[in-house]
Amino acid sequence: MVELQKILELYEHMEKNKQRYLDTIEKYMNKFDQSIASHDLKSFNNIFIEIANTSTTKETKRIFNSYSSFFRLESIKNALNNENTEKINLFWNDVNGVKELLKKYNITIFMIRRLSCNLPDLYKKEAHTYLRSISPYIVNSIINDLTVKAGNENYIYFALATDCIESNNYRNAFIYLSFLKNKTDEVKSLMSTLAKTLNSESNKPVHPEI
Amino acid sequence: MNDKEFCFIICTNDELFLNECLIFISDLYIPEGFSIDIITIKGAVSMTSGYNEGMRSSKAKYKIYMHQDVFILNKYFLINLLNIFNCNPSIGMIGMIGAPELNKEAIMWSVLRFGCIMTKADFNLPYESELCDNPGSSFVVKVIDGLLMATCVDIPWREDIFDGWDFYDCSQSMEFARKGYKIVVPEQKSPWVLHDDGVALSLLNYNHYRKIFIEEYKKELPD
Repeated sequence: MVELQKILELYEHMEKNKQRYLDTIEKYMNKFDQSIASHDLKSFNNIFIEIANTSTTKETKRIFNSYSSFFRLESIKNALNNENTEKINLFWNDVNGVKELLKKYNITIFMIRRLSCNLPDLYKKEAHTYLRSISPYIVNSIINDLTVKAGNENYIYFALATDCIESNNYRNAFIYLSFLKNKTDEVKSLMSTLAKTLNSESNKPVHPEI
Repeated sequence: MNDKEFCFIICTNDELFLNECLIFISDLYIPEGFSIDIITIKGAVSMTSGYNEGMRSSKAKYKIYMHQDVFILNKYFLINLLNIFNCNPSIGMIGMIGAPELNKEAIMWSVLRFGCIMTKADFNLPYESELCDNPGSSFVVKVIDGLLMATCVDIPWREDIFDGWDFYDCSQSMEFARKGYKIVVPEQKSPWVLHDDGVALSLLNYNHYRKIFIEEYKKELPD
């Protein structure tokens, strides 16, 4: 009963302050838009730091937690930072603003989901082709995104790792396998083989036991 | 009325979602002798007006009103709907998730609900499409969630009072009950649909329409 009362109070508050909620959403979406358009990862990260800051109002935090686009942008942020660390193509390199970025994220969700769904081969092939063009980090972010039901995670990682091995993208294959939970001895052995191959090919060693 | 036709009616503002939704629809098994039609409404000013426009545009007996971000996973979906409607002529509408009773605050997700939609955990097992082998075991409910609402009879949506994007589902459930029809939610071993609405929803207008709903249907709600 207490919880219901709190929910009702929240709804009343949202109704009475609707314009302020909308203004706050617009303010932050504009900030995101600017940082995305300029591919400025530092300023993009700073927006989340600002929201998490204790000086940010409770209402702003509540707004952030009630708008799923913000969750998804945070998920994208995690992937971008990993991609940046690994010095690979960033997920947002070919987008010019927040709408395009979220659209690309949604496309990626759909393609990942198709792997687990019982759809005709045509659509699964389209999914595999698309997913070769993006990094394992965005796939990992999507799977960990609480707002997304993407599919069976181990199946997805394994399917994409297999795809990468077949197309000689051993680094991405290794990364996908590293995301697997409860790795079998076969998987560990495969990772070790991939690590040896990668280490012999490049100056950037890959640790076999991620 | 064409009693051998299903019509999907979808209000849409996003081609990407719509196209993905249609991929899943195109992969459904169609009962023998039946056909399907799809009506998409762009630029609707409200869900009720969009659905009324779709309803008036189709002579199909069976109409499936659904969100563009709903993906029908169960390939036997249409066959199951038919079996449920045919097992009891008093059934007017079928949903995927619904509440047998509403509280006086009219908040559907704060009360007991039947039915299910796909969750992250559901993906841990391989998905299998299922034939509803006991259509008579469906749960009778008072209201269903608007993500998907399948009907076998046309009753106008209340666009006169629900002129936004909230409570059109609860309202239509009450309208069906007022006309003497039952609303049911099938037993689902695995969820028949996936709803890609994200966890956090925009509820800025929810309370406004909640009050309108309570005022209109107060005699049918608990004190």
